[in-house]
Amino acid sequence: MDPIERLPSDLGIAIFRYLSIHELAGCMLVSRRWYYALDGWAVLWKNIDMRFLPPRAETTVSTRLMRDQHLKVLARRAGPALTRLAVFFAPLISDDGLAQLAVFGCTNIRHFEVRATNGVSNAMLGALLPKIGALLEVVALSTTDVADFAIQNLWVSSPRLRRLDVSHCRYITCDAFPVMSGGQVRFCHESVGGRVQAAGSRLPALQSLNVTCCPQIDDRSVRRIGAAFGATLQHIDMSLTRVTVLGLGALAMAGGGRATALRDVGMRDINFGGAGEVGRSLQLFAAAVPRLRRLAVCGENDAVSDEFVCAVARQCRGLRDLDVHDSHR
Amino acid sequence: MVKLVSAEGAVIDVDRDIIEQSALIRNILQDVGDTGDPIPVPNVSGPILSKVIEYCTHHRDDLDRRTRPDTSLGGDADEASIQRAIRQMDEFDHNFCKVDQGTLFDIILAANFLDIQPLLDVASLTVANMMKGKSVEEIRRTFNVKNDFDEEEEARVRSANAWCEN
Repeated sequence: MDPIERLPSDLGIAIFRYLSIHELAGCMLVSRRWYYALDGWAVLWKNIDMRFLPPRAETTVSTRLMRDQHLKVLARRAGPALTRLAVFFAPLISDDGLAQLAVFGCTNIRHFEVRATNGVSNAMLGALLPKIGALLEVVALSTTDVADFAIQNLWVSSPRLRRLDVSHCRYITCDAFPVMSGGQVRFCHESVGGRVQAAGSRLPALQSLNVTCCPQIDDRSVRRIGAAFGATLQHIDMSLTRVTVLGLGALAMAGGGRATALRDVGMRDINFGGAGEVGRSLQLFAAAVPRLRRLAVCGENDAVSDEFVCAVARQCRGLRDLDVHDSHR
Repeated sequence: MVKLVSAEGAVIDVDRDIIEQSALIRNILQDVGDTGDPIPVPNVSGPILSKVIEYCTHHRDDLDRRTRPDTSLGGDADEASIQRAIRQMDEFDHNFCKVDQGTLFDIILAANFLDIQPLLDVASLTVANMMKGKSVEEIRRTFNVKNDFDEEEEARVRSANAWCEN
């Protein structure tokens, strides 16, 4: 007996919402009636998650890649119902495909993940995110060409942003992060002659930031991050960047001398810098993060010493995981 | 005791705390009060009504089934209810849903009319499981649906969904 024929559409949705979009796409081939019903039920397509392959797909990868026209079809089906878009390794997706999200009014997206997709430009992301980003909470753009402009727009247009992942983005510099001056948020464009631009007074309460492997992220960036998000930031990973131990000290000072919310700090394989300030910065840091649970400062460096480990262990009662392997001292 | 009148006019007695799992009946009892008059449920036939009562009797002490899933930590309410329905399906529910498709669809309709969300979840999930991991041809056979696409249309649908290769 045909469930789509037998049951009214709200009960059809109650059944088909248990299927993934891969399974739904299979069901569309059953009959015309199934095709038109499933095509019309926008709420079934609200979670476009392309990160996992369907269980029955064994053949070559190339036939399975998302193209712009597929993204267009999915954006049309979901429309405003779309809450989650996760595309991973889709070299055939370009600006034209992403632009369809704005065309079909996908303005309720909460989780936006476009990773390892080099056909997408910074200009496109910068223009798209203000249009669709009012409710964004989680954004992951790692290994794309995204640059400061798009990230600046994100701070202004997505007040609910909690997590941002821009790891392996080679164009991200410190200009991506706002400068706080007198309670006002400003963007400083140091790369174009120090132009300053006001951006309102409120920033999202960012909880998690991943800038792993961004080669232009340095201590100045960390200082800005600390000033802007120090009160709420719980997780930061700045492994494999140009940050030195002074950045760590700056992060500790972020709460204006008060204890920061940081729980999880990743600083693998960074160059800790000269010996002079190192001890003091580490002491400051250890004193300022009582809620720390996980700290990774492994990699070949001279800065992490027994005293530092002792200080951290003394201050951070909740510490569960401390990774210091390959430290020289 | 509450008296229910099925579609055929048969009167069925059921304990009040059992049938109050139905939000519809609960609201009627709250609004009108328990007058002892039989409550008509004209959309539900006698055999289906006794199946529904069998389910409600088994789960009469299962209070956490009736609360809404907790979404205070953020997250999608819909997503949470899907995950919970999958988790909650137990041995009894599996056996309860081992009926022919006509009966199963009637149970879905009755659960929807009587507004018994956990039963609706269980029965819908059972139908969804009939489609999971099956080829298109197998789904057609399962539900006895005729393929009415012509070749050109079928190719078009396939190419629009090419990313999943079914």
